[in-house]
Amino acid sequence: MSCESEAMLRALVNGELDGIAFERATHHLAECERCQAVAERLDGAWAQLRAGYSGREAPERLRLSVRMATRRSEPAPSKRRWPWAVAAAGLAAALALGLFGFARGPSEQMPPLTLEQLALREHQATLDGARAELQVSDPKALQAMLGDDLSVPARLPEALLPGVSLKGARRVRVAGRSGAVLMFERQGRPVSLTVAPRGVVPSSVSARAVDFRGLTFGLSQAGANQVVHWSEGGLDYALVFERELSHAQACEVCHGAGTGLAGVESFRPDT
Amino acid sequence: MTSFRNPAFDAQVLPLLDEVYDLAWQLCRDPRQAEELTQETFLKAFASFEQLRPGSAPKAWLFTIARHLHFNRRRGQRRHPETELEEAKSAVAPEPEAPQRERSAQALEEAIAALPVKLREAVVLDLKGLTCKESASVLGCPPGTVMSRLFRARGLLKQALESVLGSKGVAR
Repeated sequence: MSCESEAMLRALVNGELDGIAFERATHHLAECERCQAVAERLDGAWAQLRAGYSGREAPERLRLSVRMATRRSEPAPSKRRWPWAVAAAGLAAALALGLFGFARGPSEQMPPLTLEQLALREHQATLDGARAELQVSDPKALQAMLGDDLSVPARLPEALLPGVSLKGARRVRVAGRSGAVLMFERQGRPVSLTVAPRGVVPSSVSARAVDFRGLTFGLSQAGANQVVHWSEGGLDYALVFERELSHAQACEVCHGAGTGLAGVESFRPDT
Repeated sequence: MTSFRNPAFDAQVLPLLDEVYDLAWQLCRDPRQAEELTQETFLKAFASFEQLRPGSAPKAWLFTIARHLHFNRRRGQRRHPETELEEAKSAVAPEPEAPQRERSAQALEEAIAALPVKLREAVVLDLKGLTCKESASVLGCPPGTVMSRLFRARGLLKQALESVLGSKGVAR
């Protein structure tokens, strides 16, 4: 295609072309860097406007939040130059651990952490000041953020109920898999929700079980805290909250708009 | 919890935070939503950083992610009209402009906001320094279409900002 004349380009930047002439000139410009440069030179008005455009700076809290969120929980995998050596080292380590475990005897091995224990430990860490790695207040945004980590997205509301606020979330490793702790407040009291891939940690067998709307909820108490745990889809959930809150009040952290979940006022397992 | 940074991501992608936030602002026109979209964009970029081909432009890649997330979110809102209503209610007023911002910059900002979305996208990507071909890859349309939208947008902006431009409005 032959290049546009300068007169044609001047007419284009002055807004004097329309119809077929406009389309022909702009489509040519898209492919021709030389004509683009001429058009830019002729368009002093656009150059002036472009120079005046500064754009917005991201707020400092967002800068921090993005920096916190873009971290790995594991070092980047290195390129293995001698895979046989790594395999041999792994085998040796496994043998050593196996022999060590055998020498100690089965009774001395540490029992695996249950879901409730994990949730209580993470709840206490929150009370002790463990930071929200993902500092977001919108559950929908948090759900999207966690979507890449959890094999199945957690079911969170698109908008929280009045009296509920989301303080953020931390990622946690659960038996080598990705999990998360979501930190809420209900009427100013901390409520944490630990989410883990289903079945990777055992549930406590001593918990009381209650069936409610087709799901089985395990209930337990630990000191000043109550724990409710359940499984749904591909995830296990454990909610930890102070005994001053009712089960319904605590459960409402996840029952805002957009989940399709019905209200939980009638969830009163203690009455 | 121990955590590890990815030096390549930090060097190539994190410095573009302001650019992505500004694009998010232009798409959302709301500071809270712009922050959320920016955060989501960086998380998505972090998770799929290995897909960024060596030598390719991270800015166009990030803008593509931000734009997809934005329009996916908007499609989701249309499926849940009650959410859209709630979000509209909770939308905060535009942030107050810094006093030092020049009048012309503010006028340009307002004129861009008044453009139809397709023209606005083309002009914002141009202002952010993307080439026509990069913009075409972000917007998923042919370069000729981008240029056509860009010149339509420029024409409308010049009309809207005649008083700011003065005698420079016409090429002679």
